[in-house]
Amino acid sequence: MDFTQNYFDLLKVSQGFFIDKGVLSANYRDLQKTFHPDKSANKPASEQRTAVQFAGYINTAYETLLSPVERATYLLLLAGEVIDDQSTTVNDGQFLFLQMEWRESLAEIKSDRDADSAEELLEALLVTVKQAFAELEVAFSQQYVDKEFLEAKNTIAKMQFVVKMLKEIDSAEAALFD
Amino acid sequence: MALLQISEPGQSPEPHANEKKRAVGIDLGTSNSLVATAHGSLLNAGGAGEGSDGRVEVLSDELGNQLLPSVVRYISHADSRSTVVGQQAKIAAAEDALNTIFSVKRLMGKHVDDVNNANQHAFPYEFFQRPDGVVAINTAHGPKTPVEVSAEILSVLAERGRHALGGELDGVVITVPAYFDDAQRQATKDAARLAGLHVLRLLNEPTAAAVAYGLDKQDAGVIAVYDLGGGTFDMSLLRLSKGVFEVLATGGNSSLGGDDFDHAIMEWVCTELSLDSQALTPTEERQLLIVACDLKEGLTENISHTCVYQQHSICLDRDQLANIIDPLIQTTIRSCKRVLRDAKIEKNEINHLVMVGGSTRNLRVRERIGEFFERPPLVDIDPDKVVAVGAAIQADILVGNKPDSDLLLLDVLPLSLGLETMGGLVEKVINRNTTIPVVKAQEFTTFKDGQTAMSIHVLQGERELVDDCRSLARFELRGIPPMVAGAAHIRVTFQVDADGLLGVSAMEKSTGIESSIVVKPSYGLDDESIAQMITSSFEYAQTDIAARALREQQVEASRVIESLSSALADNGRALLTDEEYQYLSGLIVELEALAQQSSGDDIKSMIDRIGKESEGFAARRMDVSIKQALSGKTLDDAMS
Repeated sequence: MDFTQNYFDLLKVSQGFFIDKGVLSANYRDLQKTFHPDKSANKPASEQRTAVQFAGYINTAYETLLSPVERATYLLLLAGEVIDDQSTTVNDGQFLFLQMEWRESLAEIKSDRDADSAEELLEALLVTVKQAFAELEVAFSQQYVDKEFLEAKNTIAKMQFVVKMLKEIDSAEAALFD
Repeated sequence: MALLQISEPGQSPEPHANEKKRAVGIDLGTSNSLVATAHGSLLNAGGAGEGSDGRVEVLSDELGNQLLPSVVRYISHADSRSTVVGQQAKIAAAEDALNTIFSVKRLMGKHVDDVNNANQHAFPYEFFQRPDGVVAINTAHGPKTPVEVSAEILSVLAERGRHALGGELDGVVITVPAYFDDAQRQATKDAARLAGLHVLRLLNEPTAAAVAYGLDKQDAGVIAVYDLGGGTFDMSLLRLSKGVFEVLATGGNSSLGGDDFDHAIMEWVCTELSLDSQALTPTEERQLLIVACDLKEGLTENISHTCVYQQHSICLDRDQLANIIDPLIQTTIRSCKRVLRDAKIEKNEINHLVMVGGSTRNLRVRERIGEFFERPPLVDIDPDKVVAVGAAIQADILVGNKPDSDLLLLDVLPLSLGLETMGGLVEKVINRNTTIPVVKAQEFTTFKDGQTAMSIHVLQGERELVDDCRSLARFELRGIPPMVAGAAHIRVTFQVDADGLLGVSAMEKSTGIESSIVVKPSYGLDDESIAQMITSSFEYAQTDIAARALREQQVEASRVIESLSSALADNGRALLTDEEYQYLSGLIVELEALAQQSSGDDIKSMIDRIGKESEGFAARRMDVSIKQALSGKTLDDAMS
């Protein structure tokens, strides 16, 4: 069988940055209904091993397409553009300044003794950061269509910054509620 | 002619009612264990009339008891040895505390250090130091590992299954806490192997519970399962949609349960009676734990409850109980919050809250958890039985009794997997809550010029430091060609199967040097130890072992024959040349003949040969299946 099949083809969603997640999930479940190892639990050991590998491949495909950053990276990979985590740096001064601002706000919120106001501020910061991420998604989609791969790579690097920020907000929220 | 033989009804992929396979679901619990079977399997025994699909029966012993206390007592008299499992063992617990093993599930997959670090008094046994680090308990029968103790419990349950179904079991599903790590899962599977059982799947307990409830409800939505047993706590969130149960996130604590309530109550009793809880004899401790458990259980019915310990009367009321156990319940609520965050689900999106496990009989637990989730919990299926019921349903499907079933369980990895990198740090390779099975590769490089070997240390857990995670395995990759630091590319592939068990292989990319291992916990039982346990156990004489190996190969041969025959009948003509078709058919006939008479080894090599020879056919069939799985759903259809 084909372990190199394009994830978009495998899951029957059109190749592009914006995808229909409902279709993606429905097709994913239909594939697993056929290939999950549970379907071959009473088959010979060799078939079970193959099933584990293929179901694992379907899971990887699904998770790659679900995550915006991974989906974007995968699209560039299909276009022959490899992203090297170490070499891509963001030189956009305005963007970096924004990052610093966010981080300062987060640090302030973390030291806030009033849990209610901290929660409110955190929520506001979350909305701002999510908005910034949505803008990056639109930018990437356009750059990808226009084949401006260098800019697209740069956008992915920015997305990674923002995802990291979202994770930090999430763990700050966790700390607040525990 | 060969072709006629393979299309006999007995070989057909759709079993008739009278050809149902015998399968059971086993809930191997900390305090109690159960075995259940779906009526599909029961029809075989000729009993059980109702015949409605999906009905499940929890099997009882000859006295009508469904719950088997997970207690094993090793008795040794001058001339004879015997092992007692269940109620009989439990009754004798106080008089023979050192030889009567309770709550062995809490010791599964543990290292000697884990037990020494834990509050020692939780286990009133004498531990034995095995060279491989596996915990063992000194008993009247010598040192016994938790795997051996669990195998005793499994054997009793399996015998119940054989008796009810009228023959050898074709397969079992055994449930484990969702939060069990790789070592604990492997230990459970080893116990089944020791008991001579064919494990179809290790199934996570909350998932099993959701199946038991979901089949009744049949709707779509989010199910929260709160599972507090005797010694383990799990919290899982699942999304049910068209027969697919997708676990969104899971969390918990594999050493928190009703046992801890008992210990907390025992501490309170000791304070009330001015006893030093650290200075109790094993017998006194066991007696006090029984008192504590009685007090706890009495409060389910009454507002206050009184017990007697050595002429002292002790009274506990519900408010006092709440004070004692609230801190423990609070710990479970913290886990619930984390699971909600991991699943990105808000409380108001939950459609059903399901309560599972004996400890959710406790009214304080129901009250606090109901409050937290802002809804009353579902308790219509007996919380002690619901897991076994779900396991039985899944066992019936996995063994092949319901080829048309729509049910599918997509479970997740409970704890992240990673590798040790420089400085004692852990680099995560697969994050927790990733859907399994999963195959993932990560590349690493050398640290020094000319480095020719690399040691790979696999860990499981969420923390950053190696010392804070569970060490699963270490292995070495040798023969890396000398290069400057950073030039070699070592690709390490992790594979987690549907049981949640890990396999790791590593390869140096430029040379293709490969090193592959089956991950056995750093201190798990190796195959040799297990073989030794099988030989030394009373039930299996040497000849039995050979017979058992032969039977296993014969069963596998019949799977291969059935599978390949039905594949050939299905689309062999379409996908193979006449020559290829005849060749594979011939191999089936050869295997059929071998399986009648030969040794296990001969059958195995024939099976391996067929596996290789039919690889190409399997690949072509897979491609067809992919097209079929999404057939009728062109992109345009799906979008509209």
